Amino acid sequence: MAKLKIKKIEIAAAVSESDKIIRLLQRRGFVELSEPEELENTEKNDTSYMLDELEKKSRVCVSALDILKRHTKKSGGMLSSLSGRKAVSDDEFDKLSSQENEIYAKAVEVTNGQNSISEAKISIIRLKTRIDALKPWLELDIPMNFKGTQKTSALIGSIPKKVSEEDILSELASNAPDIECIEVKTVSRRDDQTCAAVFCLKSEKAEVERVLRGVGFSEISEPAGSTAKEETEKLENEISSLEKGIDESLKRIGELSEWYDKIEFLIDKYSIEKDKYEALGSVVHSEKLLLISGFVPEYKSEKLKKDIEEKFCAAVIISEPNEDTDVPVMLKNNGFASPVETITEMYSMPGKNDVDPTPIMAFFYYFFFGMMLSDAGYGLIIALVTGFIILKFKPEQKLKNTLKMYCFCGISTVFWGAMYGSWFGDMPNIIGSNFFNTDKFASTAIWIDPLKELMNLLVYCFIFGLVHLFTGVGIKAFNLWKHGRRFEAFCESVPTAVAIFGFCPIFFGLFTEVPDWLRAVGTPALIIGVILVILTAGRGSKSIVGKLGGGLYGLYNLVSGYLGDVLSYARLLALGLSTGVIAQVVNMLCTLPSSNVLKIIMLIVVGTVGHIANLGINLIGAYVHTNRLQYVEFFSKFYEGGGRAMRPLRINTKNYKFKEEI
Amino acid sequence: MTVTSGLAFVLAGAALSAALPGFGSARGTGMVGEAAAGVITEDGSKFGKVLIMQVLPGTQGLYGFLTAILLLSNAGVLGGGFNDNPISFEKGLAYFCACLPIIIVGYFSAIAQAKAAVGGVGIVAKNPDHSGKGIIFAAMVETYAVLALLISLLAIIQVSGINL
Repeated sequence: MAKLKIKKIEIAAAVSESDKIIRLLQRRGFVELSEPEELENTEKNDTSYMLDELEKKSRVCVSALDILKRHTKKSGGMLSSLSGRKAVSDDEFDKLSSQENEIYAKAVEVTNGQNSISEAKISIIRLKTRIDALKPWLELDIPMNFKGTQKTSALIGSIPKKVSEEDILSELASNAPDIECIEVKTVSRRDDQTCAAVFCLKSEKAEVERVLRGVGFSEISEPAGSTAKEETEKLENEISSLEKGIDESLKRIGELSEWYDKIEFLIDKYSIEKDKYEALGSVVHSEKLLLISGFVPEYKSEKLKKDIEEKFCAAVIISEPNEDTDVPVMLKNNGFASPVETITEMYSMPGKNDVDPTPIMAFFYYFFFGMMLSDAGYGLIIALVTGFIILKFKPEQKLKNTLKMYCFCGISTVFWGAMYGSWFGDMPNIIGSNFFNTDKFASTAIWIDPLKELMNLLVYCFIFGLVHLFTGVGIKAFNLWKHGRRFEAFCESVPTAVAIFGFCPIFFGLFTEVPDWLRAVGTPALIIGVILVILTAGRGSKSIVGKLGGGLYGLYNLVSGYLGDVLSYARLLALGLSTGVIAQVVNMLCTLPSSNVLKIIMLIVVGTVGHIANLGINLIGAYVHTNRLQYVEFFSKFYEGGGRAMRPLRINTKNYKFKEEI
Repeated sequence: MTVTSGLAFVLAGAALSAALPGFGSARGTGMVGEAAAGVITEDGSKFGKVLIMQVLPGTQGLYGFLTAILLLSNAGVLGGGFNDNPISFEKGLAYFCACLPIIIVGYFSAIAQAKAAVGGVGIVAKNPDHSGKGIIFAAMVETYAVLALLISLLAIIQVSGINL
């Protein structure tokens, strides 16, 4: 349990088998490779080319998957994402792997299809603009690039305002009165543009052009070689053939969607390969010999050694890591404690001299969480929902652990809710007194009603806090004891414990009644404790004065530190109260109407919304403050942290996982 | 309805308890919300993490609300008990004083906590693996709101037991 013992592993093998060995280690997934020292005559593999290649291929597959998802509207929804990766056996994996090239070809086809679709779409837009530009010319029944006959010239173009044929003619007449022969035909007229064809004698073309330019006439650029109508038809044909192409591509992509799962597989395969090549890049080899070094959890090491030595021509050395090596940390806990491993990890992994705090913290975590959420109805909802998801969808380990944590927290919340008599606030009483005319449910508390016995409960919170704190102190003392520093173990724990124990009756007396016998024991304990603290806290100093000063300083720290720590547990009461009271307010709002029917409707509508909101807010509050109690109050008593989490070479995939554990 | 000067003090206490911490929380969640929105423009998948940051300074409003409700029900305003037992000037004033811790600390701690949470949003943006630590930084501030709440609640309950 707890922190796994980590051994150093060194493997020497034939270079020819390096790929297979790395693959085996990756498949096992519990060996962390470390950078070996470069020995003489050794070198590293340069795998960057392979990595680039894989990166490129995997990017193609990812975008192919994206395209397929968009076109086929593959739906699984939120719920299916709960069930995690699909499991494949090793045989299936090999079978799918052998199809790699084929699958990759399909992925390329998908992306190419999508590319041609986007290109076609752009072309269509371009063609449509051209058709729009041709619209004003549809009436013109000569080719757009018509330049004239042997003797005549044709000028086809537009004027950027609305003018009539007469306007143009009169403009010509007044500015170039010598022109003999002119014919103007407007094709279309809009407010901002007039399209016109002007015919004149070739000899007079320059003159006509000059006048026309004066009114803003410009010839159309890049005219088509046929009439506007024919050109439009041609363009429309082009569009429809492009559209047909798009349809075909879409159909093809639709057909390819059956490869979706396999492309998903390929992405995973590439990511496995990438990790493998990265690992290969980090090991050193000489001409014939491969050297791998790393860390392995002890309980797996012997079997691994045996397997490698049997399967390959290799030698494996398992040894105790040096004192000064940076050994990674791996945690392993039972089903009750492992869900809160993430809470430990979030703070810091256990350092070299730490024990894994997770198993002990787990109990307190669930306990305090329940106290802060403290409503049996809410707890029931959490426990049932998370339990249902775990059983129904069988989620991945990580998600499962989170859900399990909330499930345990929910169960604890039910316990505390029942203790406090809070079921969706005072719902039993509300229903009983409003609809059944009974006040049998006025007080459902098994142990204590927080609102009635606020002070007593506050004292209980402090007591729970003290138990929590001294568990931490106890762990530290135990740790010191185990390392042979018995005197220190005694000094760290006993004086403080005796002094605090002696102080408790006085402190609690401020809030509530304290039994006389406890007061009687308390005072002498306090005196002994204080003396012990003064005697031991300054043990680090050499001089008598230093020892005394240290002792007094220790006493001051004890008072201020523990007072703050213990008071901090008042949040157990405050947050618990806030859930219950707000739930009661929701209930009260629901029963404001006088008619029973309205009350029922309010209870269903307002009650549901109100309780869900209350649950949500208090869930976050309980989570945050439980974490804080662990991190700040508990961990500070014994935990150093600073360890490095183990990052084993493993199968790191998104969509598939191996069925068998080996 | 028996309106006394004591009742006015009770209502003032309840009103300020609900209003000031609520205002602080509204400002606080607003500040964090702005920062959170900035993160979302870059990476929408961090929504869950920044949302937690945003609700952190929201609890003070809740504490103020809780105090107000508890005060109103203890003083008999909710449920109408004060018709039979009019609240004296002294008792009303005592109730009002009992609310002061949460009124003052609720408002300022919400703002202070929001600043810590904005920093936490920065952690989410740059190093999401450590966002839990950002939550703890902000939660440290809340301790004092919790303590103030506790004192206010204890005082209200004690005052309701005194005959004034």
